[in-house]
Amino acid sequence: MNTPDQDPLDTLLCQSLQSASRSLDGKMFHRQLAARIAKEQRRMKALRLLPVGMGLLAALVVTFVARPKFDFHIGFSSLATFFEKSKPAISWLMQTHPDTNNFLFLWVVLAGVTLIFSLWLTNRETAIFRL
Amino acid sequence: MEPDDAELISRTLVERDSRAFDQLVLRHQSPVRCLLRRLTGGDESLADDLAQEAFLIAWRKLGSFRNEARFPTWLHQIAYRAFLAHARGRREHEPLDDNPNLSSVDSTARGSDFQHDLELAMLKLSEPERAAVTLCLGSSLTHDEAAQVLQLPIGTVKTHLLRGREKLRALLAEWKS
Repeated sequence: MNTPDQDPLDTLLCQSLQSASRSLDGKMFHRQLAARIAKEQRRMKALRLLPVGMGLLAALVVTFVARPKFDFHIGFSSLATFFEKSKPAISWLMQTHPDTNNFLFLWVVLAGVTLIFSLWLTNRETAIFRL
Repeated sequence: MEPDDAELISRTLVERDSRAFDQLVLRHQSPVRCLLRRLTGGDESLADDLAQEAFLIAWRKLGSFRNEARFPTWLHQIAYRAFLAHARGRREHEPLDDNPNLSSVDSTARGSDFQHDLELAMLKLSEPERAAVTLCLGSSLTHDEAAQVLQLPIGTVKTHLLRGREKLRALLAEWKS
């Protein structure tokens, strides 16, 4: 702490500046801040739930709209080629569970999209919070 | 005995104790708001908005506070940055107001004649002088801490403080007797 000089005016100056710095009543300020923090907490909670919600919505769309109209075997095969190591398992699934193949492919895609979206959101969150 | 800042921060982070953060706010709001009021030229409403923003940022970033500086220093630093960001935004949209509103002097100052004159005199200082005087003499920060807050070399802060103090002494000279 910087010590004031012996000059009475300087002493008065320091005392007045210090007393002004301590004199503001914080009740109203604190109430308003608490409301803003509560709002912020709700927003952050919603942001965390957003990818889950989007994933569920996409799953519903795929189940009831896309699945009856499209054949996903092409995408599924491409995926199997791309992930060579998973190919035997996927091939086995394709052979043993022909009815569930489309779903499996869709769920892989959905999981990927949800993961990317979550990562993007997390990154955005940190960017918002950066000064 | 009142818990210190470190304990309150720990309780906020580890125990998710919102009352601990409330205590931190109540303990430090006055100097932060006072600094911002002086920086904004006595605009109480704007200063309180910026102070709210600063405390909100502090709440979000509390986990990254590493005790490298004292908590008040860290808080003042956030508040000063919030002010700078606002000032930058304002400069882009509006011309700078070089004449602070002298009629908007802190209402708490009106109770005392000297306090009132002091607040008017403060408005006549340059922005860095006002900040240095408020931080070092009002908030009792060391020169080094004030330099951290203002992101200026310590020598520059000392110069601003010296000049600000001299100007205040000259402006308030009639109170000497």
